[in-house]
Amino acid sequence: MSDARRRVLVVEDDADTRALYRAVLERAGWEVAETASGAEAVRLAAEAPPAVAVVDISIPGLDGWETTRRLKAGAATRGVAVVAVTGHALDEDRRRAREVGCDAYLIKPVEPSRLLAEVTRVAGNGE
Amino acid sequence: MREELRLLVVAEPALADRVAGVLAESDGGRRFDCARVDGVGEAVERLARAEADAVLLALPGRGEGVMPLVELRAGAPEVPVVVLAAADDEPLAVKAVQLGATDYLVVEQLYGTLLARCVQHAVERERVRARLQRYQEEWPPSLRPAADGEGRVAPLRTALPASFAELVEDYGRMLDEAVEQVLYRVRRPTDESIRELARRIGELRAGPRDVVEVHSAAIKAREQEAGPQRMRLYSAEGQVRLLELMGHLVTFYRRLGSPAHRPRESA
Repeated sequence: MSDARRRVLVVEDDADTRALYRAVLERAGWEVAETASGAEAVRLAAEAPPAVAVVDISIPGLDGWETTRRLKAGAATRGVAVVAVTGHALDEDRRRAREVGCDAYLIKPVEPSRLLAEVTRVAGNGE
Repeated sequence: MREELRLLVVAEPALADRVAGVLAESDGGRRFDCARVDGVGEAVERLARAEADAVLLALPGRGEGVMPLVELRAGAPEVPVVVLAAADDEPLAVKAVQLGATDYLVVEQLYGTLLARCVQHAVERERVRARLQRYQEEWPPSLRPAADGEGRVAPLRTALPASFAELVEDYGRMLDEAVEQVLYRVRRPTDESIRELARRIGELRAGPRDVVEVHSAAIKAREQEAGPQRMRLYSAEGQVRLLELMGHLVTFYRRLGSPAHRPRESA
């Protein structure tokens, strides 16, 4: 039985990085769905809202900012916590992350322990 | 700490034998106890039993890509991994580093000192990083590195930009000297300078992420003018200096005890 509280959606265009996130999260007991596309992520999240979406900001097409904004604006998906992942530690990125409603912000390369810690924290499963 | 470094080699038997031979012939530094395993699954099991200090992972080349590294990172994320790749698979090795491998070596350029040094640095770097992380976790929440920009300390780069720029400049000068030392075989008093730099960084209550940002900014500043060969030297020597810097910083914090609040930048 699928439990939305243990579901994570990984939105990342690099297949190897997706595989790494999936492997790390699944080992910790999370159920993982994945996509390389922002538009697909919005659709998947609306169909089966996850507890957390890990969103790479630099995905082509609908970028991570817009994907997050749409997730936070959707009636079915506004409760999804978003962990933004970016290659840049720029203040502008941090500001935008807050503006679009990201719940956490990670800089690449993402340490597996840090990914798990942030996903757990924003999902409210840390207790 | 034990003198012998336990290295788990994930490679086919012929390559693993070559690695063991090359390490046995390397002079100076630590001795290596090499154990070979056939696959990542077995490696993860042994690492779960703390049977190795580091992994040397031969990437199998086209087809499997970096999946063995992915499995290893997911199963044993804290263990430093050095990747071995064929010369024409170097882009794969670079990708492996982006996914968290500590370093990579090209099989065709495998020789004792380089291999031994690379593995030792990987282990030391991970050990120092973990120690610094532990120090930081004991700090008040307001001083911990920012993950989400909310309620935690800002990076040194943005909190104290002038101090950050000075550190980048001085650290960069140290890298210049280190590269000159290799190129022209001149000796310079870098050890004392790096200890002094660590003291200055410590007084700003900086953490491992700040140190890495200083290092990265100094390296990046040299990319414009240095050619590829010189940049390789900057990269190699930079790793050594980064490690030394983190080591001195750990010593500084240990002597200091519990860190106080980050000071304000003077105008």
